[in-house]
Amino acid sequence: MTRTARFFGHVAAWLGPAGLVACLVFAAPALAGGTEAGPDVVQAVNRLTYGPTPGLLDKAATMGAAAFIDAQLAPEPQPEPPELERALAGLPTLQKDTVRLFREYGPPAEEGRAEGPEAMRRTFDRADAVALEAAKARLLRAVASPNQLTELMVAFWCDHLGLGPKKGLSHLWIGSYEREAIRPHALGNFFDLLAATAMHPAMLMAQDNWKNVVVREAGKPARDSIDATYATVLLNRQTLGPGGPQKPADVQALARILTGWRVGAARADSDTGGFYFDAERHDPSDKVLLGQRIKGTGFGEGAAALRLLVEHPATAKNVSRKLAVFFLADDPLPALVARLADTFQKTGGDIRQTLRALFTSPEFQDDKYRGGRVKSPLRQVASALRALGAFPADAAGLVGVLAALGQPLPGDAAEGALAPAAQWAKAEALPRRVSLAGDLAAGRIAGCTPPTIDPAALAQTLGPTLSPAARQAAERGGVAVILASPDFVKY
Amino acid sequence: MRRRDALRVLAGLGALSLVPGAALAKKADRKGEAKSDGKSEGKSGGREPAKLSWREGKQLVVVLLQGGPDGLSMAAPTADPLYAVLRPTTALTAEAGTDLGNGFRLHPALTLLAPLYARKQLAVIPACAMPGQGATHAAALADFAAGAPAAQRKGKTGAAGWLGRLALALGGERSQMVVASQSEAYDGAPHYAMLAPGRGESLPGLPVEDQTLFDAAVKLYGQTGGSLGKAFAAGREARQEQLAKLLEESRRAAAGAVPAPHFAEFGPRLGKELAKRRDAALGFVAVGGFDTHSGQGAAKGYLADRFRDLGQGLAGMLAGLGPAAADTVVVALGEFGRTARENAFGGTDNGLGGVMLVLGGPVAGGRVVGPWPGLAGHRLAGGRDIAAATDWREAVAAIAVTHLGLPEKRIPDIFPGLAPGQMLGGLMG
Repeated sequence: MTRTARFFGHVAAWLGPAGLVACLVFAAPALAGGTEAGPDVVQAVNRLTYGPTPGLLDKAATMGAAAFIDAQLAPEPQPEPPELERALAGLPTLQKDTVRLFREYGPPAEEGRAEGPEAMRRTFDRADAVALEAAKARLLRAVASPNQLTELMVAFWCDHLGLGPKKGLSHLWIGSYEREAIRPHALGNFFDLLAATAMHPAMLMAQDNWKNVVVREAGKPARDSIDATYATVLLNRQTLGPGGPQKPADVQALARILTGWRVGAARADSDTGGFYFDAERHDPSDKVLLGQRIKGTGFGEGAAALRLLVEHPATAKNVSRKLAVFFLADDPLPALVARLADTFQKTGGDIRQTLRALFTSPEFQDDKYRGGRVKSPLRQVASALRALGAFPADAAGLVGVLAALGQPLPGDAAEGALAPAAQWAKAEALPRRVSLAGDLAAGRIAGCTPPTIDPAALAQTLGPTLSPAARQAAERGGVAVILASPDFVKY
Repeated sequence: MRRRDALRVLAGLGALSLVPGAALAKKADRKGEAKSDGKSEGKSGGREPAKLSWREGKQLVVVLLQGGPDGLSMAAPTADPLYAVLRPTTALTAEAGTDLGNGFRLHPALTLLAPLYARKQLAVIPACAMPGQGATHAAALADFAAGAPAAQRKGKTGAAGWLGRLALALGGERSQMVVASQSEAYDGAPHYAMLAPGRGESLPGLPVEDQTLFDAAVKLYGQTGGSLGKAFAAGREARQEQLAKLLEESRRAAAGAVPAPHFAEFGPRLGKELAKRRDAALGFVAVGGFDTHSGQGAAKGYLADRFRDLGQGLAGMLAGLGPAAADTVVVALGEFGRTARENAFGGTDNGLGGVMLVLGGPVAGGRVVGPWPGLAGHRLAGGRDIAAATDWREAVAAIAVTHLGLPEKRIPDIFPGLAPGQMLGGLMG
């Protein structure tokens, strides 16, 4: 593209319909004047976003809590700000699908492998670089995307359907797993989400389902080589959950159903997924899962099994409970969980409808749940940057901060979004947040120089969640005191 | 213990006769011969005073950066994508300091050394360490002095210091050495003269955390922290204890060395002294202040100030050497390096691989020498330290052979475990 064309591209982005919407959204608080954000608005903003940005509470107050929740649940994403678009465009591996990532960053072809361990280390180096870009993207979006609920749900699903610790080259695909399997379905249908993750090479490798096969060799009887790792995780964690009705025989049956789900070479340029169903490695017999007969139909068995699992009441309860924990409290009321599970079941696993039921429930606005959570490190960092109105020029330093605070982003085996509040309230963790607040406010974090703002402006952004004591202390000690205060650590 | 007594006498003497260089040189020389290690006593009378220059005046000066300076700050691998991840508050930016090529940048506080790099009189060796060396200051200093890790020197007897053995190998009774700090590295040398650095500026303490901010936080968590209040108080107490321990360690780590702020002015003096004493093949000085467990800083801060001291001292030493710098090689290195990831106090902890600087006329510089292992987790030693990609002894061996004329087969005598021929290639012109 020529420079002129690029220039017109930018202008068009600003003046086009999307740009206009963005301008209006940003202008809204100024027009609204001083509508005071009530506790319901504060709760909605704190729980559906990574934290208030300057003017966001005012804007939400003008809209009202219900409209704010609706806007975050809306299927049409809001346009991302240009600085975020530019930053993401600067991370080239974000544009590459699973197959291309493997071709360009994966292990060298056969002759290269002869080089031994050093060649393998170089492959891991490349995978690390790819995973780092995925981590940066996650953090930048958490800070600056207007689609905050989507970002929270991406983090939620990346944990619930997590890949676990680094295994082989699976972390090469941590970013493409998020982009291809999680992100498109984060607020969509749970069946689609589950199917997309089950077929993604990252999951096939991380949970060893690619090894789950029946071996057939000419002249010999078929030999079972069942690996139930993924089937176990799928039942005990991702669907029915711990305490579900599954028995060891169900795990074995599910593993057999999923035999022959493999990672394959792309057969055509249009083939971007890297998934391959190998009928030759599949067990064609009929199976019994949770008391139901699944006919041996090859690839179709998997779909039937996933459908059975998604529709099971135990799955509805497991997923609903986790959502209530993530958005509300470590020990959500059973009655609330039951109502959410009901919605989940009635809507066939519609995530958006289940969330709507949660956000509009009376429990969601119950006083006892306000300010009762401790921020995860990702939320701590993202909320601080959002409140300061900062956008990092380079997110690498912040990715390091997250690791130091105990929540390494993807690429380092994350298991953070679903951790209970107590996990983040440990004695040694809190003083670290205080020193982080000082480093952040003083611009000591690499790649991140926040704009200079006074404590009063920061207090204004955070609204009524900030105690008078913290406001007062900040008048003497500066904005770092606010970012270090218990009021800011809780939400 | 005899050697130590002698050193005390000499140190006092050097301090008394500060400026008149020639007088000092003669005195220290005489005393050095008379009072140094027992071996040389009685034989020194037969030796002619330094009327001939020793091996045409070739010198090697070892500057031990005591405490272990952070290699990732001194020569920062800013092109490594993981650098900023591991160093959120201590990383240099890709624009800071001087471009060394190969993705490295020289710390901006070492800017006095940049012209040397441009003139190809400075080579930088990253990821430099003795494999298998100790991880505490005391153990690492002992390993450095011995020129071999503890595991390899079991059962070996004789002279303990590698500089002492090098002095013997170079010329037996005739070799000379100028030292300015105590170290077991030159134990066993037949002669040495002690040049006392005198009293100068002492080290400032390491910076601690932002007191105002923590005071405010302590108060707020007590008042409004609720259940977080107790956890915070406990964490705060543990943190302060840990910090106090680290600061105490840093203080101890600098003991016995010339404090870096004083080295800035002592370096030129040492250079002039070395220029006058071309019969001294070897020199040694330890500079303290590089153990940075907290508040290390990045382009500015505590470590930047120590680097400035060091740059002034080293550049001043070469300036003091004058034309003699053309025949002098100065190496500067720590007893170890530091962790790849910064710690909870904005500092770095004791680690393996550090940086070695090699300066002087005979150096084939202007280059980053030796491999760079990288910062990915699977590249780090023990998952936390910069791996030892270059053994500093191979660099010294190269200098000893090509510059000082040490017969190559003598290398194992200096560094047990190192084979003849194990020399760092391309370091000397």
